[in-house]
Amino acid sequence: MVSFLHTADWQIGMKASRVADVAERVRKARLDTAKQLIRIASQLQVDFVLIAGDLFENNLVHNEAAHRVAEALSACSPIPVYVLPGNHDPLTADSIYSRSAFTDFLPPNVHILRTSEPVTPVPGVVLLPAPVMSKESYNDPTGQFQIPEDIQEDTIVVGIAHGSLRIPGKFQENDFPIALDAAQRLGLDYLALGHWHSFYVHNDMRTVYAGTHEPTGFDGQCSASAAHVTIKARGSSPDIERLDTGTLTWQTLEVSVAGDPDQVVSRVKHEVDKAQDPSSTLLRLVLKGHAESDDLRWLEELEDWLRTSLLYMEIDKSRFITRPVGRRLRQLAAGNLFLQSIISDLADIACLLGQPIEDLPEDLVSAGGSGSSLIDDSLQDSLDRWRIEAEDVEEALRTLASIAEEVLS
Amino acid sequence: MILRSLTVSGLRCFRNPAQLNDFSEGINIIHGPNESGKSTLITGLALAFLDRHDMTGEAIEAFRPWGTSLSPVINAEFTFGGKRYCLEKGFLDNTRSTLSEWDGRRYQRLDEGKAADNKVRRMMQAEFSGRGLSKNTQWGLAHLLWMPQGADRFHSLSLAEPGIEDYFRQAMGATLFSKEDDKLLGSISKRYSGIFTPKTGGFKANSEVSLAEQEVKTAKERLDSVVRDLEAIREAETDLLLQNSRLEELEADSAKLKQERKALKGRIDRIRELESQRNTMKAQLQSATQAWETVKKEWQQVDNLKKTIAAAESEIAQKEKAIIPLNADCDEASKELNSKRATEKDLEKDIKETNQEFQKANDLQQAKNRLESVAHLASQVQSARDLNTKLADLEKELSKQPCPGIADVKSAEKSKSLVDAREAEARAQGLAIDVTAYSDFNMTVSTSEEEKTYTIRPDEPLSLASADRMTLDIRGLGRIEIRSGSADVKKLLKQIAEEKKALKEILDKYGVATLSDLKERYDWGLKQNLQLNTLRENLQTTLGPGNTLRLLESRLQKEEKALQEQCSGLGVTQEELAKAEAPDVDVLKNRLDGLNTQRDELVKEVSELDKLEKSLSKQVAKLEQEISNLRTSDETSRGELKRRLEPYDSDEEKLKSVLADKEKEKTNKENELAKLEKLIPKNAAELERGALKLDREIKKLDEETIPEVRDSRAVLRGKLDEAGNRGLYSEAVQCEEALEIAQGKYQVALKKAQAIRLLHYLGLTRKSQLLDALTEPIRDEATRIFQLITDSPGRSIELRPDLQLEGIRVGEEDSRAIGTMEEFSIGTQEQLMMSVRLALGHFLGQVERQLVVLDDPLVNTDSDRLQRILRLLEAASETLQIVILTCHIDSYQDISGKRFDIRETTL
Repeated sequence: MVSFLHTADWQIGMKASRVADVAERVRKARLDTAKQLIRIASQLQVDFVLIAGDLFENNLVHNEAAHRVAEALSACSPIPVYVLPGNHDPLTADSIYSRSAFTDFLPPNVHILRTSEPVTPVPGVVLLPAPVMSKESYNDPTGQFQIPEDIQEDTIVVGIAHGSLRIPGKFQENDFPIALDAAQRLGLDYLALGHWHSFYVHNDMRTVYAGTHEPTGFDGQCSASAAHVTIKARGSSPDIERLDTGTLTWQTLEVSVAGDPDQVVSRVKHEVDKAQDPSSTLLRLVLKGHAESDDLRWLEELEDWLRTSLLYMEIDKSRFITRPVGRRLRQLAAGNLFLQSIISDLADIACLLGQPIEDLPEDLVSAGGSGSSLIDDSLQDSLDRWRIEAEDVEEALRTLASIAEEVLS
Repeated sequence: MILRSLTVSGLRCFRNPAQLNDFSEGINIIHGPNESGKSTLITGLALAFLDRHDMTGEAIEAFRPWGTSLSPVINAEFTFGGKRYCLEKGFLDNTRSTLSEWDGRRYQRLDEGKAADNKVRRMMQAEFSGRGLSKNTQWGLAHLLWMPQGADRFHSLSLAEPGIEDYFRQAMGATLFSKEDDKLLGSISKRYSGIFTPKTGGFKANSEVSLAEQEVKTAKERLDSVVRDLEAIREAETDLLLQNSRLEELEADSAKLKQERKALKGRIDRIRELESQRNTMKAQLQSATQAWETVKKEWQQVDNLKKTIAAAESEIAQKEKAIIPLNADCDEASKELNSKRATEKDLEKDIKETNQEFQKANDLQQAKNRLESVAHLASQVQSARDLNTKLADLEKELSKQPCPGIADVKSAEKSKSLVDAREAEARAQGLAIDVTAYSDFNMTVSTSEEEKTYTIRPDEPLSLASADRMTLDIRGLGRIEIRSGSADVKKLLKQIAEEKKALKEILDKYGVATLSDLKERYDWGLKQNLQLNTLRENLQTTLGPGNTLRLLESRLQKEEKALQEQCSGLGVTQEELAKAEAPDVDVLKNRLDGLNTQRDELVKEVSELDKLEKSLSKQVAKLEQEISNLRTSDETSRGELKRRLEPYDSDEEKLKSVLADKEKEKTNKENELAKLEKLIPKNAAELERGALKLDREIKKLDEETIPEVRDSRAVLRGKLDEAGNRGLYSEAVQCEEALEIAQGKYQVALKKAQAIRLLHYLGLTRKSQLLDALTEPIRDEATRIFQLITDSPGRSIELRPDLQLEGIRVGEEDSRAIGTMEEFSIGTQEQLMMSVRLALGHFLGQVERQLVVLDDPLVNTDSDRLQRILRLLEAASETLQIVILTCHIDSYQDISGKRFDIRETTL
């Protein structure tokens, strides 16, 4: 019987420009989770650990990241750790696995699988590695496996590779395609795969993606997982236990705005309160529907609260229709031809730019200042020259409302 | 506001109070001559209504009457808003301000001091100046409606001050652009000016959007730089792969070339062996050929010697035959030569005798010639000696008396003339005394020039004159001494004394007493010099050009000596020589020439004969020498032939047999060499070159190309290691994230800026439109008035939205031809400004009757236009109080209204 931990796609040094403000924190989380996983391996007292590719995001990550990884891996000593180079950190000329700043720090229990030569991690088990040598390949990496001719019948055979299973619609030909029957055809007891970030067990029940250990975005495609595998004997079905890992929570919350905005605020706050650790939560709030009023102070307050409570938050307002000309601005503009003229001009410009202002009161449109439109070739030229866009017009209306309130109240 | 009364005192020309009461609500004409104080009244009005009472400084000091310490005091009664007020205002030493309101019976004090000032200022919609007098533009209604004197009347009107603009807006009944709107636009403009530059409309360097943009730019540049580095690393990686495969190829190439070189070396060794054999054979052939050639040469030598011996024998026979006739000719020539030489000797003797005779005759002739020459020279010397003696005598006489030059004579004449002239002038300027006698008396008169005694009779009055002093000595009566004190005369006398001194110096120099003596001396000197020159010329002619007396005397001595020697040579005395007959030299000369000619011909003949004899002897000797040489050579050839044939037993046939053997041996060697040549490939040299080329290629590969590729690989490897250690990807990630953050900030700032830009543009445009609408009625009314004044319907006044005058448009409304003020006459300009003021008054007067002040407004207006303006003023006085100040009251006789004579206003 053999027991091992299968993980992959740590991608240390990953880019997080989507959440640039907290990018360092996101990167740190990947390393923290890796350390956590190594601790689990020690606790489980596994025979060895397999990292099926993409330990690093890129071969040219900082030395500091390399040192941290080496440090993390040394934590499970003496359990051997086998690291397979993936398509993000292939064994190319610039490989990090050739950099002394990494290799000099590696403890003896960590082994880089540089060739396809079979390895014996523990007696009775043979490990067939398929290291990645390039960024992309049309070849099935399992084709590299070199099964020893003199292998004993009871030796458990484990393959480790990095690529895409040839599941229709889920792979590309140049993305290290792996035959679906590779494990069966090659007589493997277990095929440890990396490359896909979600946990996946193929229907042969021995071809497994462990998934990435830490989610990478709001899309929910990442599983934050690893696999604890136990194989009792050669030919027996492996016992695969999914381990849920992860330090950060990437949450997407869709909320419809209708009626009293306080209800929206309460709901969002309630959802956030449910989070185990708000300071490790990244939230994407999607607002839908129409604002009843031009008074959006509730939203500003909610934004402030979320920003304070969470590690990161962003609000998608693309489906949330606001009212740039609200009741207050209308009141201020009543009887003020100058103000009315400007509002009307902005409405004209919004039309000109192809995004008419919704819900613009008729009285403001018809009031139209002096009654004559300012739209002419000269203004159009100016708009082009200044690169004015429709959203600038809405911003101008909001700014006008704010200044008018400040000056005229 | 309308004015009811005005009293001023202590103000410029008004030392005493001047009072104007009961102003008409319509037209008022204040008239008076220039400098009578009309404009000062208006100044007083402005001080009262528009300036602080407690103002200090030079500006207000200037209003004190000139040369006094009086202070300006102005009292004005006026109506405003239907109420009647009295304003009492004093400045400087009379500082006070009191505003009172009429309650129907008397004035009740309303405000005092600053409060009173401010209240009146507000009525005028005016602004106070920070310091000093308020500016014209701060005068509010007065700025719009009062037309001052001088150039100020042409200053464009402006609604620049907010107070008047607001009042104007109210007067026009307009709510189009309110104070609040101004604030709103002001707030937008403030934000705009914080973001954009006023000139270009671009973002300010320190604006939030510019800073954010700069941040984006910096982040982008940094990212681009890192991305470029990453691309360079990718290229380096690709290069490294290429270099790896290239190195493998090069090493394979090197191995292949070395194998080729080995095979080629085997072939080359075999060829070298054959070539060695060939070289041996070549040496043997060369040896055989040399042996054959030696024998062959020997055979040719023998053959040649035989031929040489035969030819020499034949030639000796021919030359011996030719020598016989030559010997006979030579003997004959020798005999004739000896005969000619004897004749020549006789002729030479004859010539010598004739020549001696000729020389003797010639010497005698020359001695006679010299005798004549010496006699002539002695005569010439004597003449010269005589002339020289005369010259010395004359020069001695001249040296005894100094003669003046023409310069001294002229200088003396000039001094004399000046003395005479100045003495006459001195006398004229000096003393003149007329003496008349009642009875005869004698009188001695002494002056500086002379002393003379006169007898004066009653019927013979005497006029006396002297320069500076005169003494009248009347015997028995007394002595009168008269002196002149004139400075001019003293100056003249001083000059006369100086000139006299100069004249005396010249006369003393030549030892004469008077100017005439000096001139006489000058004439005598002139005459003596002329004679001296004549003697000198005669002496020069006697001596001849370039000669001196000494030279001639020396030459005479030499000639006499030579003559003496010639006489000695001839053995005669000079007297015998003189008597001797002259010899016939020419006969002797002709005879000598004839003898010489004969001798020359004979010498020529002897020479030719001698040449012929020598030539014949030489030919004979040459032939004899040739025959001798030929015999010697023939003997040598025979000895040589014998010596050469000795090794062959003196047998010529044996020599032939040895030659045939040697030729055969040579042919055999040639055949063997040809066989060897066939065995050696023709491209042997090419193979050698190929081998050398291979060596070079292998050397280049092993020592240059492969190490270069290895070095290049090491460099690339180094780059990759460096990129790895640098963590280039991590850097790129950080740059991308920084760029993302910067772009986010920039988008937010840009959005805000764009909003402000839009609002600013729209606000300004709308304000301009609204103000334009506001001023349009003014423009129309001013144009109407102006057209009426000028009787020119084609002209219209163009005003800007703030009432600034743009100019006069001529023609249709869409015409672009707008003339500026300066393009029109002064008269038209003042009419234009009056039109604008009347138009403003028209609208402002609809709220309340307004005071319009026109200070001498129509001085440049012709009579037709003046009449039309008077009619317009009459019409305007329906709603306006008009105060006209003029010094041309006649111009206003056709207009009704109250008249004030400024001269009658003083209390």
